[in-house]
Parts: sequence; structure tokens; C-alpha cells
Amino acid sequence: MFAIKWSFFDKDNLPKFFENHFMEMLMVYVFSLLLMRNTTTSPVVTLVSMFFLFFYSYFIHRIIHMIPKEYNPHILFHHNDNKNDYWFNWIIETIINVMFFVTLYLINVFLNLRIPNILILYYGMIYVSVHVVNYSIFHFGDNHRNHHLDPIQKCNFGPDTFDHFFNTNCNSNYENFIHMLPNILCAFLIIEYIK
Amino acid sequence: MTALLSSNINVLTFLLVVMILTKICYWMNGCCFLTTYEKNDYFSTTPQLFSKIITNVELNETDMELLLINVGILILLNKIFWLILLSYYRLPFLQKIIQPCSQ
Repeated sequence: MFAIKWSFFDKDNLPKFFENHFMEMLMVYVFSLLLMRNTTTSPVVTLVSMFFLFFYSYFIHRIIHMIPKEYNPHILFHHNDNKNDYWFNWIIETIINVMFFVTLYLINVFLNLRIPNILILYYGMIYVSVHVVNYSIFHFGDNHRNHHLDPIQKCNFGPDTFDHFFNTNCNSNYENFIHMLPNILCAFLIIEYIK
Repeated sequence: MTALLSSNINVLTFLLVVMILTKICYWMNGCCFLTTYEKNDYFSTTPQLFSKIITNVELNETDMELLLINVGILILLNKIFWLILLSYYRLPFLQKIIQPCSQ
């Protein structure tokens, strides 16, 4: 299921990762360390939790595409080209995206995975806002559009780094993550304010 | 320069937020708004000075600005990252170095 593409690390691909993804991902990790600064959670736990959250967002999107089309709310509402129902579908997809992280929160509570809840909220805000605002409203990034254009929707699940790492990208194009900067900054400032 | 001198995480976080806002403005406008305050007939701008320090390749103005913004953000991110790790684990051999700055 998760075949790692080792050519991700070769000298043609790794510079593309550093050009397009590295700074934004490092920023997410450093902001997560800042959010957990005055707590007892160690930086290593914070970094591992953030990596798990990145992986979870990729994994859950792959899982949801395995559900048959007839019963799959993500495909029925989000992969729906009917322009008349755009905003209704958008609200349903937002709720589905939020539920991804509510589910993780409940799993975290019941199985005691020790992922800090602040980090679930922080990463959830970034993921949901990027998906429903940047991709769905402003249409930044061709890679997510390719996910919708693909007839069987088996590529570009996002985040793009994991698609390249697990060889599930539609093409060799690396998405520039610069459009995520406002989302990352706003999520950090909001969580810093409310925590 | 403040980023290089300060070891206060709050100061560095504030500077990081400013730098991210600068990069967002650069992304939206296609150029850095700070450079427009520096332009004059006699002196070089900061992006020109910085790009000439690190490369002999002729870059255009916007690439120089992007280079400076990215290096600034990377310095801040790295510094915050290591300061948080060091302040949590309190490595004995580094306490002598970081303690005078934090007092």
C-alpha cells in the first residue's frame, strides 16, 4: 500500500523538494515547537506528532477514496461538478474535513496516543483551511486540480511531499507551498492566542 | 541583524512573523515592498549587497529580494528550532554559552 519512491532523494528530485516544500514544512514544525514551548511535552514528541499528523492527513484521504462511490460523502459532494450546489457541497466537504481531525482527537483520547490536542487543532486548522479555502475557492496549486481531473482519483491525495514520497503523484510536478503561508501563520497566531 | 544577535525566543518569533508577512506581500505583489524604501541613485539596496556577497551570477531585482527573504526566514527558523531544543534539554556543555544571553 505504501511503496516508498526512493528516487525522491536523488539529485534531481531533492532540490525540487527544498525549492517548493522545505521552508513551509520547517515552518509548521517550528511553530508547533513554539506552541508546545511552555508545556511538559518534549520537542521530540512534538516533532514525531507533527510527522504523524502529516502522514495521517495523507493516509485518511487515501482511505476515504477506498469507500464505494455510492456511500462515499467525499466523492458524492466534493467530487461533484454540479455548479448549482457549489456552496452546499463546500460546506459538507468542510464538515468532512473537520471530522477527519475530530476522529483523530477521539482516537487519541481513547487509545491514549499522547498526541497533544493543541497540535491536532493546529494542524487541523492548516489542513482544512488550505483544502477548503486555498484549493476549493482560490484554486491555488495544479496538483489538487489533477486529483479531481483524474478519472479514478488515485493520485495527488496531498500533502504533495507525501505523494512524491509514496509515489502517488499524478505527474512529476512539485506544488509550490507558498500559498500556505497565510494559513500557517493564522493557525499559529489563533492557537497561540486561545491556548 | 537583530535575529543574529538576540537569543530571546519572543523577539525571534516576532521577527519571524514580520518576515513571513514580508514574504506573503512579496508573493502577492511580485516584489518586496521594503526594497522600494531603499532605492536611491547612489547606494545599493540590501538585496543587491546580499546577493553580491553570496554569488557572482547576475540576478534580477526580484530574485535578489526572494533570496534575502528566504535566507532571513531560514536563519530565524533554525535559530528558534535550536534554542527551543537547547532550552528544553539543557545540555550542560552549552549552558555556559546560552546562559549569559538569557539572563
